[in-house]
Amino acid sequence: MNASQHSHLDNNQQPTPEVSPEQAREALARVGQSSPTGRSESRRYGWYLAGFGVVIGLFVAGSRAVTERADSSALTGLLAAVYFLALWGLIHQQQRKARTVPRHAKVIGYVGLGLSLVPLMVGLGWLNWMHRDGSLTSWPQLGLFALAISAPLLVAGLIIRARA
Amino acid sequence: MTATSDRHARHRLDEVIHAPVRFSIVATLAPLDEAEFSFVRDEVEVSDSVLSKQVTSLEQAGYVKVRKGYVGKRPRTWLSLTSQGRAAFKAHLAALREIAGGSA
Repeated sequence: MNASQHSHLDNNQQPTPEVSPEQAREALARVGQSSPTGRSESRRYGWYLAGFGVVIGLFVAGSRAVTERADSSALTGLLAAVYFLALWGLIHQQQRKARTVPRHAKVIGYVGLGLSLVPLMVGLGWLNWMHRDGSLTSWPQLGLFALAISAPLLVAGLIIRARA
Repeated sequence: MTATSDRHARHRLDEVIHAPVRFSIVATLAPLDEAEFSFVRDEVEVSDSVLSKQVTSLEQAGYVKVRKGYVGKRPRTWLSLTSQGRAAFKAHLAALREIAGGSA
C-alpha cells in the first residue's frame, strides 16, 4: 500500500492490525455466506435471462408459423408488437427490480445470447430447405426450433441461478 | 523462503479492507459484478452516510468503482470491486487464513 492509500484510513487505525486466530476465523466465516436476499437477487437475474430466451424462441417460431399459415402482415405486426412489449417489460422489470449483477453473469448472458443465434440461423436455413416446396412447417418442428433458440439462454439463466 | 514470508501474517493484512464495515462491503461485493448502493447498505446494515464514507475510502484506495446512473427518472448508484480490490481482498483472506491456522 502506498502513502496516498494510508492517508484516508481512520485516524485511530493502527498501521499493522492485531488479529487473533479467533477473530480471523470469525471474519472468514462471514465471507462467502450470501444472505437470503442476496441469493434471491442473483436467482432473479437468472430468471430474467431465461425469460429472454423463451421470448426470443417463441417469437421467431411464432413469426414463422404466422407467416406460413396466415400470410397476414397485420398478424405478423401484432406478433412483433407483443414480442417487443414482452421484451420491454422484461428489461424494464429487470432494471427496476434486480439490485445485483452476479459474478460473470453478463458474460454468461452474452455467451447464451450468441449461442442462441446459431440455432436461429441454422434452423431457419434448415426449415427453408426442408419446406422449399412451400409445405408448412409442422408444429413439432416449430416447437423444436423455439426450444433450440431458447435453450442457450435458458441454460445461461439456470447456471446463474445455480451459482447464487 | 523469502524475507516477506518470514514475517507474521498480520503484516500482510490490508489496512483498508481490515476495518469491519469495509471488510463487510468488500465481502458483499466479492461474489458480484455489481451491486446497487441500497443493496450493499441493507446487507452491511449501515446508514447511507456511513456506507458513503466507507465507499469513498475504498474508492480512493482504488478498490471500489462507483457508477452513477438512472433507472427511469430515479438515480441509482452501482458499486463494484476493481481488479485491484479483488486482488487485495484475496491477499487479505489468505493472511486471515494463515492467522486462523489454515483451518478456515
